[in-house]
Amino acid sequence: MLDNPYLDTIICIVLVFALLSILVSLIVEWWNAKIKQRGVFLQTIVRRILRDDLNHDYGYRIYQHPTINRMRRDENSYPYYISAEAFSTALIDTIAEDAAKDRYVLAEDGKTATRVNPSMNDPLGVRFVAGVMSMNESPMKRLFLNFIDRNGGRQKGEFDVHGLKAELGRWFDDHMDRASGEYKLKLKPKLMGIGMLVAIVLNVDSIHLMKVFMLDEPLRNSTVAAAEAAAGSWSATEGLPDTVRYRAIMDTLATMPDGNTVRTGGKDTMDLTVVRRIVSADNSTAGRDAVEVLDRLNRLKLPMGWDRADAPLSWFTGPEAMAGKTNNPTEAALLQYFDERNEPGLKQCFLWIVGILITGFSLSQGAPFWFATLLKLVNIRRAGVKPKSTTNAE
Amino acid sequence: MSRITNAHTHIFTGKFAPDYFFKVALPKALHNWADEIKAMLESRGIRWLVRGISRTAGKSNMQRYLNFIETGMEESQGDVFAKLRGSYTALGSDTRFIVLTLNMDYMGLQRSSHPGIEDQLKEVEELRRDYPDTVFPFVCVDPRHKQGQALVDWVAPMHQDLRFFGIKMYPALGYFPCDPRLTELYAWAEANEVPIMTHCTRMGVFYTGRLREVVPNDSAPCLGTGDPANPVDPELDAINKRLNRFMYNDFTSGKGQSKYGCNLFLNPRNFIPVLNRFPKLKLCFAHFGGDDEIMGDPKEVRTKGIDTTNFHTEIKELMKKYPNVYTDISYTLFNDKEDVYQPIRASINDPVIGGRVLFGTDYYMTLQEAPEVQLWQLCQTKLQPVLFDKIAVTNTNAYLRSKFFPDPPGTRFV
Repeated sequence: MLDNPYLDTIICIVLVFALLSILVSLIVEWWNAKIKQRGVFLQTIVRRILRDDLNHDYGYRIYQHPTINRMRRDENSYPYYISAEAFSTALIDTIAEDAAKDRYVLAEDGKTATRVNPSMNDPLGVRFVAGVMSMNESPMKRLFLNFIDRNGGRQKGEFDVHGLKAELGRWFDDHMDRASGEYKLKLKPKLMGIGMLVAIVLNVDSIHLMKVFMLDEPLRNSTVAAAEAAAGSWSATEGLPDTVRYRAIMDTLATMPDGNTVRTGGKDTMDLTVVRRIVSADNSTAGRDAVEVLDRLNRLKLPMGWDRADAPLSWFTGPEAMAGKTNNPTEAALLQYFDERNEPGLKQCFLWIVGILITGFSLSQGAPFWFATLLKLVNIRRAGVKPKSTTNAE
Repeated sequence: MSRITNAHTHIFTGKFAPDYFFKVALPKALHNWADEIKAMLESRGIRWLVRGISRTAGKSNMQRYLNFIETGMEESQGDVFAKLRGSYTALGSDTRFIVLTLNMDYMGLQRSSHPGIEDQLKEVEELRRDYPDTVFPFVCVDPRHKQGQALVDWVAPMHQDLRFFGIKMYPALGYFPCDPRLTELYAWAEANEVPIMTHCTRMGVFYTGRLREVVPNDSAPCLGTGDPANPVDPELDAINKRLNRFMYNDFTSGKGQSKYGCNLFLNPRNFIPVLNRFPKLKLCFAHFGGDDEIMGDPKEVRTKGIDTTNFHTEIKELMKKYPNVYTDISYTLFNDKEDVYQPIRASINDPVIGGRVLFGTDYYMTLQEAPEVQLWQLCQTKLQPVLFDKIAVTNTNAYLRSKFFPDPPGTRFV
């Protein structure tokens, strides 16, 4: 076991980043659900796949198709997910419909006009081929013709609609694989923004955290223990969806003892009363999970959150010297650092801003990145030095 | 009482407008933000906000605008139509509606991701399937979309199948109505008595690009007379003089002034070469030139001598000269002043042109002024039953009649 205070400090910081990243992900997902971002993004991608300037906007039209239209929860939302089956059904029907145009035929007396649509009785495959053939020449038309040719050709009766459906489904899935990467990329600026917001709201100054972990050995040790447990859960749940892995980590951390700190009269990092009230009003799963993450962070007794006695609020309320109030030399060193930080000054202000920026940027990397890093660091710590043999010691 | 027909309504939604549509309303400095503003207005949050505010009680200008924006942001044309129809059925009226589609695909030259005219028409056709005896759509044409015989080949089947009943034109979006690429269409429409509706007021949306992009020469593209001995229409000279006044005047040709520049395309006199060649063309100049033109409001293009035409007076002259030229009082009818209604009544009573004035409201553009119910009731009150029935029943039936649709009052669609 490698017992290195620098490595342990890094492990502690990475655990904080990982837990806060879960919080950021939950907030982003909650916000995206509120503004129906995922559905809007999916609609944009579908319309882009099927864009044909020389014919119809088939993407727009398949969203009018009952298969997809009925998936909408209300008129202000789009479905978050469309199966390959639903996509290909809607697309085939939409194009087939172009071959079956309504006509109104006047009766002999000229008083009644009746709607007729003779093509409507043709088999779906025949109507689809006719629909494609009626399109203006375009890359999309050529693509559909190739799909048709690969599934039995353009002759009446030879066309395999089920084969076409499967092929269109695979084509859609390929696009969706790429789209999920694009979605993550699109979320990046939002993660960065929310990351910054979390860093400010919770006052998570990375530089301050690092110094405290270096000076406060009990806190470092209890946080490293939590980090090892979290890394163990991450490793044990490999291959499962991220949300399941986060849940396992939360459950593991719930069994860990509270954090330990050299500072006497330690208190909770944050008062979660207001947050709990907001979340219970919203009643969303993401909100409840977010409170759970905050609760786990609280129990680690980390030096973050807003307090009138701590920087930066102390710069305005007037700092109170703490170092002389203890006889414990370890605590005195830590309190000495707090006293210096709580004094207003350009240097302290600059360091606080840099610390917040580092946190905000780090949180935008996402929880999976930080848990993977944590696992590597914990493995290094475990593999560092062989434990001494007890027999030799005797 | 026979069924009335509202000859001028719109149900297209904002989705069919290009991404850069708001260039028409924004100052030049904000043109680069037009895409973002449209996307923002179409976002769920803003829609929710607009809906919430517009449904609160009150009749302020802001609420009317929000009501207009909310209708334009509806999810589908069916939703807009439901609101329109509801305004009449609530009072027990079984009104028919001429639904005018609008092709905005060429109102600028930038790329846009909006669904195009084909999708708009498709949606209207589906609506017609649900209300075959109520919805009478007109197809919007633009010579930059389809031209010549190809345009006729596109439009003719829609009319033969009684899916569409006329043609809509909107020259302010960047083309001259006398464009030679429309010659075949006019010939076909005249031969089959198919009605055409053209926008004709200095208000409304307009081409957002530079005028030079659509008028590369100092001579307007103009169809010929059809007479090999005298191929050039005599009106072309006047059109070109007006064109040059527009193109070389800072007020109209300068950057960001296309709003004024598009008066160039709108002028009813631009139709004279068309009407000289096709004198029996059934052509309706919408809005009767506009309430401001009826009242003779001073216009900058007029006071500066660039375009001295009064659209209202000009339309009346054309109606007197050509037997199938119509007009409608859509949008104009919102202005309850006698200065507006008195000339309208005089025109309806006129023995020569009185049979060619149509009732229409220009829904949902008019939501900026008043609710639909209020407008058609105002019109009924101002015109009294005899005149109202004449323009809303007799005249509109005559206008809708074509070789494909010979008996508008007698035919029932099932």
